[in-house]
Amino acid sequence: MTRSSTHEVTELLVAWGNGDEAALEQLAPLIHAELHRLAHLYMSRERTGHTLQTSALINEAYVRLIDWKTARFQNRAHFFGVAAQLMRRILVDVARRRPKAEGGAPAQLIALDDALSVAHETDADLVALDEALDELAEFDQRKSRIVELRFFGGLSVEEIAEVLQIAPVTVTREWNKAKAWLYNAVNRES
Amino acid sequence: MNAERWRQIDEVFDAALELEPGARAGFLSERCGGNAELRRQVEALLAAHDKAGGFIETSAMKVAARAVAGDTLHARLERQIGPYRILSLLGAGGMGEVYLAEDTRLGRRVALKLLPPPFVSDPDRLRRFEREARAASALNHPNILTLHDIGRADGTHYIVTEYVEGGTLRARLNSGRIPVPEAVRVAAQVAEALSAAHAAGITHRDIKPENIAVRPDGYAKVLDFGLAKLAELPSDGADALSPSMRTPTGLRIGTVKYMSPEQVLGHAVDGRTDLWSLGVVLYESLTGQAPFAGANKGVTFDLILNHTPAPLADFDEDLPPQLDSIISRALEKDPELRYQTASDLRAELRRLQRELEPFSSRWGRAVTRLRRAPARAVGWPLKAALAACVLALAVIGGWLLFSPRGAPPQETRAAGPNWAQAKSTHLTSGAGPEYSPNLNPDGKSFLYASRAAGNWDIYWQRVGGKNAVNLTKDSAADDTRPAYSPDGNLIAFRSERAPRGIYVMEATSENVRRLSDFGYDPSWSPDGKELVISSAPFSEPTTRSLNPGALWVIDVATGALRRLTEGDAVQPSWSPNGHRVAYWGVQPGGGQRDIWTIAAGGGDAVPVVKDEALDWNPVWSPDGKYLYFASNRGGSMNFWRVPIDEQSGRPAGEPEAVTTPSAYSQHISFSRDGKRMAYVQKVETRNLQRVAFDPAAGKAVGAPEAVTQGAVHVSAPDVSPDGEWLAYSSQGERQEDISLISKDGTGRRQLTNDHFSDRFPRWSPDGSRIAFYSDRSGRYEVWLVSPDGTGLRQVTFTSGQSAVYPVWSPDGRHIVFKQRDLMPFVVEADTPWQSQTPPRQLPPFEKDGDGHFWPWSWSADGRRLAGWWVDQAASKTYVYSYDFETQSYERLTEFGNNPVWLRDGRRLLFHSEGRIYFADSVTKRVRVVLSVPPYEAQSAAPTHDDRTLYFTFLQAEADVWLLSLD
Repeated sequence: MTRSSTHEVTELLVAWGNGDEAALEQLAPLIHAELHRLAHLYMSRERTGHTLQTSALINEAYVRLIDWKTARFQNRAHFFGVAAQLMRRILVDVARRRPKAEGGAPAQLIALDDALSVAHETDADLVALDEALDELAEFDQRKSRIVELRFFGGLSVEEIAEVLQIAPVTVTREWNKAKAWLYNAVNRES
Repeated sequence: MNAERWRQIDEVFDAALELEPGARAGFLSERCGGNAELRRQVEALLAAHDKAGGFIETSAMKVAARAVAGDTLHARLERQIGPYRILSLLGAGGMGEVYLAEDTRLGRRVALKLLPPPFVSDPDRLRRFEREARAASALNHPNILTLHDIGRADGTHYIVTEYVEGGTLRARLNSGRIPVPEAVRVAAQVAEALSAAHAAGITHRDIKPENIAVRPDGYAKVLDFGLAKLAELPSDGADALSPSMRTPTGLRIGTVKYMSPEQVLGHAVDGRTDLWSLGVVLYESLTGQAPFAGANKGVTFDLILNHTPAPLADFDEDLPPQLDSIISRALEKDPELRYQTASDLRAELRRLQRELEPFSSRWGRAVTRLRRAPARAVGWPLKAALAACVLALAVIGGWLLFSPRGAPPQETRAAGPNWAQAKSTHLTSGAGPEYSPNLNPDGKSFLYASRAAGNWDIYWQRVGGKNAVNLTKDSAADDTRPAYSPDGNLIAFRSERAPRGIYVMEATSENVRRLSDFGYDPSWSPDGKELVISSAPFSEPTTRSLNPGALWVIDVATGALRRLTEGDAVQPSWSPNGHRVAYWGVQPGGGQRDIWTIAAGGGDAVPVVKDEALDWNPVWSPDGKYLYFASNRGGSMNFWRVPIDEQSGRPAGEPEAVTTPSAYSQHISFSRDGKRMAYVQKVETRNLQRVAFDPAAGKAVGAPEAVTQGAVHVSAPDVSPDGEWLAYSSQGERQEDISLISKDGTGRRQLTNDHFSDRFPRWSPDGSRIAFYSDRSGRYEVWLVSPDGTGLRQVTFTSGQSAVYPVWSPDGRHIVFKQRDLMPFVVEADTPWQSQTPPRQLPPFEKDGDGHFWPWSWSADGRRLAGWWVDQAASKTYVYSYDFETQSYERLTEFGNNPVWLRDGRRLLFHSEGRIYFADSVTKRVRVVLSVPPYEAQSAAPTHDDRTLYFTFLQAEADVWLLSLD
């Protein structure tokens, strides 16, 4: 992401957060582009020994997607919330439109997964998770938001604590419990 | 769920999490009391908590990106790009993705690299890259990866290279540091490749373990010449690269460690920068650690510029001290103090290698490339394949390289003899070639053919002895291809003495008798009662005449004959249990040489190796478990073996390398116990020479002088009408291309550069075009190309047999060509094939029986074609002319081929048996123009004024060697 497009994303997010639905249409392509860039990074993932390095790069790229620090917005907490929600919407949409694997995947793909060192058994099914998260929100709004902020929004524990005005240790506890519930919910469904 | 109920569950869950897992059950009984449902729910959450681990710990963005990556690759795997069908992903890197693909035109496997758009957005850069990559590949160097194709399809730019099985040096390094001999061997091969590239003015700029492929047999290949330059940021603004390419995730990661000081400083670089990088690679190979590796780029740069790496002894005191001095010379910060040329570095590595590897000899050059223990080679493909899986993704520009099927498990592979551990002995070393060694079944003595006495004779020599005994000195004619009977008492051989044919004599050279009036390459049945022979001779697998051979079986006692094969078959080998005969042949319609077996009693032939490589000289191992053969599949001509079911004659596995310390090996023979193997190491060059010629006298004036020198393969030279250039084909080299060279031997230029066989170039009379024949359309057809390499155009579109040997009419309007079993056709050079009036065909032979006229030269007055007629039964050729006016043929000589008219249209030059002759078509007088014993002169090409005669000077040195495992 160039500086200008990061800025653009931020502006659009703010606009969307302020109720401008049209902003979403402009945002989605930018995020898709970023997604594909990350996808390419995965395809070019360095060997196992360098995985950490690559992860770090991806995080960095991810953080850069939204210019948290310099964005001028009225309500920081509100902005985080909006951004996370938006990411959730777009990413779940991407997942929903993915072609469904038919029958057995070709052998090469299995080798490929190994090579990518993708922990596919722990990768969440975004669509199932989205539904479970909705369900969780019905009786435990806070846990659902924490997951949204962290998993979809990429916020740190400290940032979530700031947004929700609770102690970081509480965020961690809530996260762990939400994770357990979601894990069961997703696996029950599948 | 009801929120109140959940609050309760959540509270208990929370409290339970605070406890040690062992204390939870007690806590729950107490806390939940009789509320079984509550307890069940909390227990389920506790269990989930323990299992969830990394669940949703990876951000959704990354999860989605991974899914997209998987989809992208999945989609690619089902794609076809141009003529290439993608089979599997080999790797991906900053420089694009690399796939294993199949060339659907040729059915062969290739590595296909898709270049990412940012690298190809600048057409100038792309062109420069293409030029450089092609130039490097054009070096035809066995240690440089061959580039097949650069192209674009559906908006995707791709590069296609040979597919090398094995892994990169990086993969080897991932499993630890590399033993000294192997590390030195690999480095020497890289130095060899660099030496060739630098000589051609090409710098690699990105030598690193990821760019060095090491095959399981130890052969190293340097990848990605030219690519480094493409990856460099253009100095004229970074806009050519997308923003993402400018991020720290970009190009130089993993590469900085191998950068030379001048690269770090951004100074101009030359070949010496590659020598630095090779020094770094060698250091890392030996110690497992890169000499300059900091926590970040800046620190690494500082180390490169200002620090001396730790001495090798810090890692291993046993490392040879010479290595320290080699590495420190390669790693001199100032390029002026470094090794100045790759050959200097190569020479030092070779010297060290000689000390490390006691068997090397004057064949050290070959040893370097080829000596590697198959025992080890069996072990590491597995590891390499696994490592390559991971590694494949690593590299910027890594070409990777692993068998998608994986290596077969080590245990299931039959363990054949390990010839790499054998003792190597030089058995013969006479001037000129010694061929066709045949070990006595007891392995203690051997036969071979040599021209030491002026003609080919069969010699006997003891292994370890010095005195050769000429067994056929009574015959002034050539005697070749000896074969001991299974009991060692008889010798079968081919003789040109009158009457010609297959002869048998006692091992003492007594009682010589003729068995058949034709045949070559006899091979005994295991009971010694029969011989299998081929009806066709050949000396080189590449230059066989297009006359097919057939296998025949002779009863040794009665001389009775029966025909065994229908298709082309030569050089038979009878299996040890007697059931099958292996042979090789040329595929009809094409030029592919493959190996087959057939039941000794006759039947359908079964292919054993059938692929693009040149495969020949099949010989059964004495235990019948392997079929050994010679093949260029590894880049040079060496031995391979394939596990085989002797009963069915079908292969039982994939071919594996049996590397001998030689750049060109042929003619295998085993002792009965399978512990000794005799073979021929050959060095053959075909250089261009010229000699002044007096056309009036028909004599050469003065001594010949060299136009080209060294390890080149010039075939069929043809002089341009202005006498300034020669066109020739490089038959015998790994790649058969058409090249031009100026008359003084400078300015060599390739007109074709690809894996197709391009042969026998002929200048059009006005010098504007060159006709040749090529299999680039899938079969041999006649093509035209301009001397500047443009205007490539197919002339003939034949059906049935291939079209070969184009000959221009003197007015440049017609071309004559030949199809194997048809008389020559005359077509119009510039009329599209579909619009040709039915092409004229030369009339059949009448006077001299069946056969065909092979056209070679059209007289300047347009009246006659000169060519030769092949008498298949007698395996003889005669020079003939065809008169267009009288539509009749005339025999001009009693031997010889490839006649070329002099300007007067009356006299001509031709060659035979390594000599160039002069003939007068009126008087029929023939005399020798040029003879260069013990070497050969071929392919006479006079200038248009007849004053200079160019020719191919063929130097063959071939010695018999023995590998023994006892």
